[in-house]
Parts: sequence; structure tokens; C-alpha cells
Amino acid sequence: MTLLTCDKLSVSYNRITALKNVSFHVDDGDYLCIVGENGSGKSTLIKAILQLIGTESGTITLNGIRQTEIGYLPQQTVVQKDFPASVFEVVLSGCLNRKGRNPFYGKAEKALALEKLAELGIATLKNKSYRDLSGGQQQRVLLARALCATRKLIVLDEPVTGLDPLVTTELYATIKELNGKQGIAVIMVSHDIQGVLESANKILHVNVEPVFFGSPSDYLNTSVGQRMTGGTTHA
Amino acid sequence: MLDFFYQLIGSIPFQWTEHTFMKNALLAIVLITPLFGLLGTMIVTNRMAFFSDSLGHGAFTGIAIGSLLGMAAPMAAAVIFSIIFAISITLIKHKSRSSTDTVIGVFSSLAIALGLVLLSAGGSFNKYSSYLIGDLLNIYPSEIVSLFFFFIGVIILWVLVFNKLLLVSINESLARSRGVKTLIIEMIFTATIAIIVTISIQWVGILIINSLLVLPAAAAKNVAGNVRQYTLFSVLFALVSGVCGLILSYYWGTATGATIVIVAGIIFLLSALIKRSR
Ligand SMILES: Nc1ncnc2c1ncn2[C@@H]1O[C@H](COP(=O)(O)OP(=O)(O)O)[C@@H](O)[C@H]1O
Ligand SMILES: [Mg+2]
Repeated sequence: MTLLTCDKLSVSYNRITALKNVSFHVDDGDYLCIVGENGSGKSTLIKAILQLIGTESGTITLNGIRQTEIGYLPQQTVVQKDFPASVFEVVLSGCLNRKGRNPFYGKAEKALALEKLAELGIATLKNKSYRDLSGGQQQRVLLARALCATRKLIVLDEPVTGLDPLVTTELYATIKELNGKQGIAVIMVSHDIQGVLESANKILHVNVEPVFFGSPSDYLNTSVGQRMTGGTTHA
Repeated sequence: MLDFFYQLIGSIPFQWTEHTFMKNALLAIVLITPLFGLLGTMIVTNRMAFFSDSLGHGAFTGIAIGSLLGMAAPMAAAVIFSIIFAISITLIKHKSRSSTDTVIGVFSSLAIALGLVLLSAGGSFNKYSSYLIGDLLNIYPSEIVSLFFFFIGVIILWVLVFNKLLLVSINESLARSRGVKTLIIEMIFTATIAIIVTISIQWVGILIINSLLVLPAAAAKNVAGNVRQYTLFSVLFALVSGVCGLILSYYWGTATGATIVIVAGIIFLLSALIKRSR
């Protein structure tokens, strides 16, 4: 079943066009990787999917899932990096507005947060201060927070930026497992396409305008695909 | 209602507790400083120190306008004006993506200049100089009662919007993805700061009011490991600074607001040392 369809989407900020005529679709259990240069509109696309910004033309259709049921791992902000919150408090914040307008977190939310912590293997960090964690642990916490909101679709904006290669590999493995075992569809923005080629089943390359949308194997046969993947491994 | 508290304070065996003006000041401090500690946490988290400083300036203009309109107590006009000021700046912040420091700076300087021009127009600025350094010893019992209700109001509001406000502070786009109306939350927050700053200026003084918002929270941030501690420490530091500052100012014969800020500053330095030694 199709979860999300994006049809000829264009977005602009004031007069700058950030995205033009981008189309793609995500099915249940898909793993879509969005690639492109800096400033090519990847984060903009993510925000459009989450309906955080208005679109200029084109449509985004959600099917069988509401906007607030999408798990979201935003790009790390400066504030977050040194805010004195415990791991549990950070994960719990992902449960906000899960049920209507209740301003407090109830038992169900707390149980859910604990469950996600355990799922990601960070239950022991529960009472640690978020800012004292390593980069990899922090991203796991943010992943747990994102998962609190969703059963079906998670959207990750550059989750491995700033992580060392080993930790990056581990995080990719975890995301792949969520995708494979729990069937959660993944939309991930990433710089390094190498690390996700074997996990993703769809690649979207944008450079304001769409460059490629299709399977990883087809992508490798395009000249742009070869340039994106070749340059980094073969010196 | 106040008699009970007067007796309670009077039973503390120190000389300063004998004076009614000290009792009033102490009660006021116990009501105001926790609010400063509370609101300060979000100001520090959001790096809004400059912004909250400008709110003080806006409040000052409000007081000037209120006085000019010939109101006996210019407070009502001041509160309304500073709320409008706060909301306008919040809107500007929301609209523009680039750094808003310049915009805030321009508004803020214009506001304070306008306030000074208006108040000095009648050639009687001395009357208003208490707004600059504040006078906590000149607080009326009726004002303490109003403060009490304001205190309750802010606490209730805080409890209701806290989780949302926290998420907006940590990551605005995540908050919006969870269906939080971030602009409204921010407006409620800045308007509340505007109100408390405006009514406190007469007691604390415009020159130092922002330090009282920022220092306790900054100190708490240094030593807290989670949000609960952060809030608790900030409130506690603000309260301790307020009470110690009041007592010290009595014995030293110094300006109360400034003495409070010095105590808060010392607490901040200690917290920075603790942070470094960990
Ligand atoms: N809120 C905004 N206002 C104006 N321009 C923006 C805004 N956000 C992003 N842009 C611009 O849109 C373009 C795409 O940005 P973005 O989607 O963040 O790129 P990416 O995530 O691919 O690096 C960039 O040129 C950026 O400067
Ligand atoms: Mg980006």
C-alpha cells in the first residue's frame, strides 16, 4: 500500500525556489534515501512532508497515516546539544500530543518511552543527562524519541552527521533493523550514500529539481549515481 | 491576610524583621523571585537574554506613556504597551530567518530612548529615577496581595504549557511536527515575561532586572542533569539570591535590587566552578 505520494511538488522561500517539480512515492515498509548536495532542498522536502512549511504547487498525499503519526528526527540544533535534560525526558517529549490535547504525559506515554529506550538498547542510559552522552548515543536517544510518535513511518534528516564511521555503521544497522523487522517505512536524508546503498530500496536524488528516483541498482547505472558513489571509495 | 505572615517573619530573631517595610519586601521577594527563576530557564535555553532585556526597555516606554496619559498608576498602560511590544518582536522573530539581534537592538534602543524623552519632557525626571534602580522597600501591602494572585496565575499557566514550551525550545520543527502551535506558545511565554518584567521594574529597576532573569537559570543550567533539577535549582537560586540580597542590603545600606543581583552573580560563578571541576 502506498503511504505517501508526492506529486510535482514545488516549494519556495520568498523568491528563492528550493524545490521544483519533485515527484516520488513511498510504500509500506519502504526505505527511501534522499541524497543531494548541500542546499539542494533535502531538509525542505522533509519539512514539506511533515507539513511544517507551505508548498507552492503540487501535492503531498498521506494514506493511512496522519501527519502527527510520522516519527521525525530533525537535524540536531545547538540548543539541544547542551540542554540539561535526562535521556528519559528527551524521549518522552516525542510523545507530546500523542493523545489529543492533554498537557501532561500519562502512564501510557511513559511506558511507551521506556519501551523505545529498551528497543534501541539504551535503557541503562535512562537517567543520564543527554548532554553528557557521546554523539552516537545522542542520536539513538533522538531516534527513540522519533519512534514514540509512529508505527509506520519515520523521517530522518542527516542522522549520522558528525558521527565516526563505526558508530555510523551501527546506527545504520539499527535503522535497517527497524525497517526490516518492524516494517517501519524509512525516509532518510544522507550525505554518504555508500552506507545505505544495501539497506535502501529507493533512492531520490534532488538538486532543487529531481535528478533521479528509482532503485539503488538503477541509480548505480546512471552517470550521476556513479559520480556520487564512485568518488568516495576509489581514489 | 498579611498579618499572619508579618507575625511569622517577626518571629525570626533578627533586627531587620522588626520593620514593616522589610516584611513587605521579603514577602514580595518570595513571590517574585521564583517566577524569575522559572521563566529564566526558558530564556536561557532559547538564548533570549538579549530579547528579554529589550522587554524591560519596552516596559519602561510603557510606564512613560502611562505617566504621560496622566494615570495615577501608570502600570495598566505599561503592561498593555509592553505586551504589544513583546508580541511584535516575537512576530518579527518568526517572520525573518536571519539574525534578529539587529532588529531587537533597534526596537530596544528606540523604546528606552522614547521612554526617557517622554519622562524627561516635563523636566521632572527625578520622580521616575526609581524605575532605573528600583525600590523594593517601597512596596504596598495591596501590591503584595495582587502579586500573590499573579504568582498563582503564572504557576498554573506554566504547568499547562510547560511540556509544549519545552519542546518548542529544544526543537521548534519537531514541536510543530507534533502539532504544537508554536507561535501561540511563544507569544504566551513572551507576554508573561513582559508582564512580570513590567510590574517588577519599579521594585528591581530596569538596569538589573534582566540579570535577575538570566543569572539563576544560567547557574542552574551549569549544575542540573535533567529538566526537573534545572527548574528546581533555578527557582531556588533566585529565591536564595532574593532573600540574601535583601538582608545584606539592609545591613550594608545598599540598593536592594543590585545587592540581589550580586548574590545571584556569586552563585553563578560558583556553579561555573562546579561545572568545570566535573
Ligand atoms: N526558512 C528558510 N528561508 C529561506 N530560505 C531557506 C529556508 N530554509 C532553507 N532555505 C534555503 O533553501 C535552500 C534549500 O535548503 P535545505 O532544504 O535546508 O537544503 P539541504 O537540506 O539539502 O542542505 C537553501 O538554499 C537554503 O538556503
Ligand atoms: Mg539539510
